[in-house]
Amino acid sequence: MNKFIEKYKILLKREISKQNLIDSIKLLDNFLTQSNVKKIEINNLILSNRKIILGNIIELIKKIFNEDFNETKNDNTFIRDIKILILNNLLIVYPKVSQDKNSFKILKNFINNKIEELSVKNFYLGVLFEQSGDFESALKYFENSLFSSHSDDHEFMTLLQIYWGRLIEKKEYKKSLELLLKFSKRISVKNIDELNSIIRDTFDIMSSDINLRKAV
Amino acid sequence: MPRSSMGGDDPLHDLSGDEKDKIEEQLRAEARELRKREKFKDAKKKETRAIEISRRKSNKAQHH
Repeated sequence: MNKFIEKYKILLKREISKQNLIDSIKLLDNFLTQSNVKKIEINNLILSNRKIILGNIIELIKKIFNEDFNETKNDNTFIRDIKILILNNLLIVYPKVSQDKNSFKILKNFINNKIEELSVKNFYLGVLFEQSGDFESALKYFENSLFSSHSDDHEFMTLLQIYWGRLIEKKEYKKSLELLLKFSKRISVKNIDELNSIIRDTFDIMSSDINLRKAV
Repeated sequence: MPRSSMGGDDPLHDLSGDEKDKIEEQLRAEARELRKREKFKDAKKKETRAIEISRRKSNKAQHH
């Protein structure tokens, strides 16, 4: 068991990448096989790290995310955690899977049914919608994720930065500053320095953008 | 199937609270730097990792 846990921790701390995606899939497959749950029968093309075609990935999504391995029952959450690790890598490395109607539906069901924490659930829905090209809905989910988190929660500062970052990308500078001001009253003392850094970054980004526009 | 073979009730598969805070703060700082350079995809990679690291695991694992 320990070797699986150690591998999981290594993958959790590693950069999101195609290799990390493949290693996370291998971890799930090995763990399920060892636990006599089920073999996923992964296409060898995926595990060989050669050129991966979208069709293989879509097939894999069905096998991994459409299957219930009883991961929310009897404390089997380790399986769910490995699946979320796969989801993390998948959504970023292969954004096109979110544009496939069936895969989108499977992943949305998985996020809705298997991720319990409301803030994290909204975050993943945000990423899924964003990668599918629906930025408006994505922004709503990122906003919901922040508002369903408490300022003392581990993930609060990350969710604040994620929503702020999306507003910055859309050049919604006024909204991003209003957001930071709004939360400046709720933020924990230990996070004040970081909030100030985000405010400074906002002004830096705004001024470089204004200078850029002037130059054009 | 024996329960111990699944690992969901084992707090060891989660990281410690302090370790999480440290890693997340570092990832957020790196993401902000990337966003300033308009490397949005790389910034998102860092933030997505930070979320998964901070996510609470099974109820039993929360009590460590």
